[in-house]
Amino acid sequence: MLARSPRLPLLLAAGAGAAIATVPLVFLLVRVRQVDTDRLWSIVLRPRTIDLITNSLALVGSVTISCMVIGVATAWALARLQLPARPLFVVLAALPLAIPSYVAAFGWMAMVPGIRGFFWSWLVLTAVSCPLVTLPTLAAFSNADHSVVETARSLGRRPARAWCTAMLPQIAPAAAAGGLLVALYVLSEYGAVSALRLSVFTHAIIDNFRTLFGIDAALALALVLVALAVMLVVLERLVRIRGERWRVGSGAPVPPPRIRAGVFTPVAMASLLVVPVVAFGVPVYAMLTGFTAGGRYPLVWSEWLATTGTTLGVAAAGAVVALFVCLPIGALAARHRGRVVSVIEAAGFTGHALPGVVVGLAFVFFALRVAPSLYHTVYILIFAYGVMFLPKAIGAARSSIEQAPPTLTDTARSLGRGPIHAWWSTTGRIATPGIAAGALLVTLTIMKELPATLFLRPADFDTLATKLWGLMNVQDYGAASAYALTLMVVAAVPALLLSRHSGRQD
Amino acid sequence: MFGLRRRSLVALPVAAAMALSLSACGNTDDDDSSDESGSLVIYSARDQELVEDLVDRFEEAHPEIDVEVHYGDDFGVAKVLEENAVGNVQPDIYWSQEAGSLGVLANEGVTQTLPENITSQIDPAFTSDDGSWVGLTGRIRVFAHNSELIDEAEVPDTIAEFADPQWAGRFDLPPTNATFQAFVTAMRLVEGEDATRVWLEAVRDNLPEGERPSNNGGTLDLVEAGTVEIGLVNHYYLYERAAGTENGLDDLATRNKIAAVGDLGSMVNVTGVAALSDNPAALTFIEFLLSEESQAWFAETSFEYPLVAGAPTPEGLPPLTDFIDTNAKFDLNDLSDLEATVALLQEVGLL
Repeated sequence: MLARSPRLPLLLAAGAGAAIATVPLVFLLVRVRQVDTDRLWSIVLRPRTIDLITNSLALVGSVTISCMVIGVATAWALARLQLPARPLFVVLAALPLAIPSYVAAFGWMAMVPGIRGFFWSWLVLTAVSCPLVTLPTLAAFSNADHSVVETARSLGRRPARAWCTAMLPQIAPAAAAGGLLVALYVLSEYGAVSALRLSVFTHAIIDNFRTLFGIDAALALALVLVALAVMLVVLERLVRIRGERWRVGSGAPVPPPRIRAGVFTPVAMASLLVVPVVAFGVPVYAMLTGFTAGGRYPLVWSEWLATTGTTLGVAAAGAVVALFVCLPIGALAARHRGRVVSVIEAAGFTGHALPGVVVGLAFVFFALRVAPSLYHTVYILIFAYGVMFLPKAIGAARSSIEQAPPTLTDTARSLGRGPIHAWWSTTGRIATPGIAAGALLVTLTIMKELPATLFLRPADFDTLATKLWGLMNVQDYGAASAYALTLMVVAAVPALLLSRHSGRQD
Repeated sequence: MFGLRRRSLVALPVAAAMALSLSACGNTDDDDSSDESGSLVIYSARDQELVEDLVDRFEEAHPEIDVEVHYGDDFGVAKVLEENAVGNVQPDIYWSQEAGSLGVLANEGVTQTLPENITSQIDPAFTSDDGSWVGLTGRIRVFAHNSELIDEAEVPDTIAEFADPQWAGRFDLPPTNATFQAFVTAMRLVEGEDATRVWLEAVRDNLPEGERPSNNGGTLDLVEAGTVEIGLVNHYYLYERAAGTENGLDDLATRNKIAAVGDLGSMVNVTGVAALSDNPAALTFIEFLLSEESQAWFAETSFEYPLVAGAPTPEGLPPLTDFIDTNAKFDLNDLSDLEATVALLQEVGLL
């Protein structure tokens, strides 16, 4: 089935989505061509670039590996162990998603003054990114067919071997997709590493960007970042285990009995608390302390309410954009292989690897040329959000479509249904919860976005993140804490929905 | 069983579309009216929380003018450059944090020459020489120090002393900050490229390990926390911080030291405005910012030096005239020569 070449309409729709996703990259290529070549190479090849890339890759590697290990272990414990208050632990596993990395970093800095450098950056980024692996892996455990493990055991495999040959391939695509999101996120992260003063590649880009004559250098360096991101996407495709992901048998998957952990239950419960405490507990405590400390500018409740409403509105709208663009790309990537498919899928990921300022300026460039009447309207901002966080939706769409057996669609078609109808009533139906989870993930990521919002927002338009940033700029940490707390609470809603999706036991 | 049901999946886009149309409502009026003569579009690099109150006062005084402010760091210049590339410059006013970005806009040819009655209100040491923009307020560079760790008398009197190895690991600075870069530009203009490189290399070797703080506020945090003894920042950050505490300066360990008279360590950089269109409301706005009321507002609210002759000096600070000699050593307009400064900072590895 994988050998079957994709239908033209699907290919065209996915190609169009990929084209939209490459707006920031096209902008970069056009602008960098205008830079003097000697100057460009002298910027890219200076020794500091190598140092920064080394630091960035070390951070990306260590955070991704720790998120994969912790994420898969957490998902396994939540899916397979008999735990008291298990739903609570599922919620706790999702909550770190609601924390912007820069808020987590500031929270830790308020609690432990003077911290900085690699270890703390690793700690904060690992804690806030873990759910990106935990949640899809947990969902994969829930959807997995455990009868395959039984079959492997009945054929004489020992439990661990049987698990590796029969279960691991079923959860690997979800875990790898999550790992890729973590890697891309850490690569383009600026807020936390900047607060914790770790010299990484995004620093060079943003620092040069802020100095007006450094914009050329910043864009040249951003291209290097895109190249690194494409390497990560390719790497993930190589690691992702190929093959047919759907169930062998018919009927419902067999939910295996939960394992009793006995005396290890408290140990497991304590371990499951570590990530939420690091990512959520400490920053929330710090912000509560900061809020009560007060500040120079009193909190205006009407403004606070309006800002919260705006944030919810644009985040949901951006997620809808991402949803429409991601579906054909996800459907294509789930069912087909080949060079064209690889290029389209990789294109979908490019926007995510760029720092927000580059994406922001790219859409200024794009709007002025293609849709000047939309410049400085909320529409262009929403469009940019959709593109920036597309990979989160693509990953979810692809892995949930992969889990639906394509034979069902074929059967529906053979019974006389049209192609779209047949797809919706079979694959679409099975994949819907996973795709919706992707949309929720996009929603809560948009809520936390800052730099592109600063570039593209209309006048008199604030999100919780821009208010938080503005108050930090005038050193009013009291009011800033109020907005930080609101942002965490609001973002916790999609995080909770996500945990319910991933942790459901059908 | 907790999975998102199909109904809620349908509800999601509907809710989003509603939210979208709601949040879009507020903007459609602005878009329609932005071409009428009674409207004024401002790109502000000045912080919204700080200057919003002043903009409100302007709107009260001029209800016929519909003001639309885009706040957003110094990113506004990058936007104006992109807009100019397609001949579609949006703002009538660019309101800057420092002189350099105004010079960039002037060099790009997007500024309007301001009339004499506006430009003549400011001492030539603190404004543009060709009327392409006008200075509004001044901020001096200071050596902010933690008074619990170091006596004021021990803090250097001149900027040159920070090259001395005895200060290794004891001070910090924000290399990406526009006013720090303006200072480096001034040093290049006054002492030459080579002397500046030597100073920067020595300072780079003296700075503590790790990434530099990203702005003046972050640098002040390090001083207040005692991570370093001294920070090279602008004078008003300390007062801004004190305004948010219960007992003002008494609650803080940090104090400012101003370099010896005539030393570049206490040069003045200015905030200012440029008109980017011939919209008459732009001049009305600039005149408002130079009015006695607004100038006094700056001294009291942002703790900066108002630049109009005769305006009050912020409480507890030496008079602005103390710094005319320092600033007379270079031309403020030349601070827009950032390119060579950035190249130098990149070369020594501070950027």
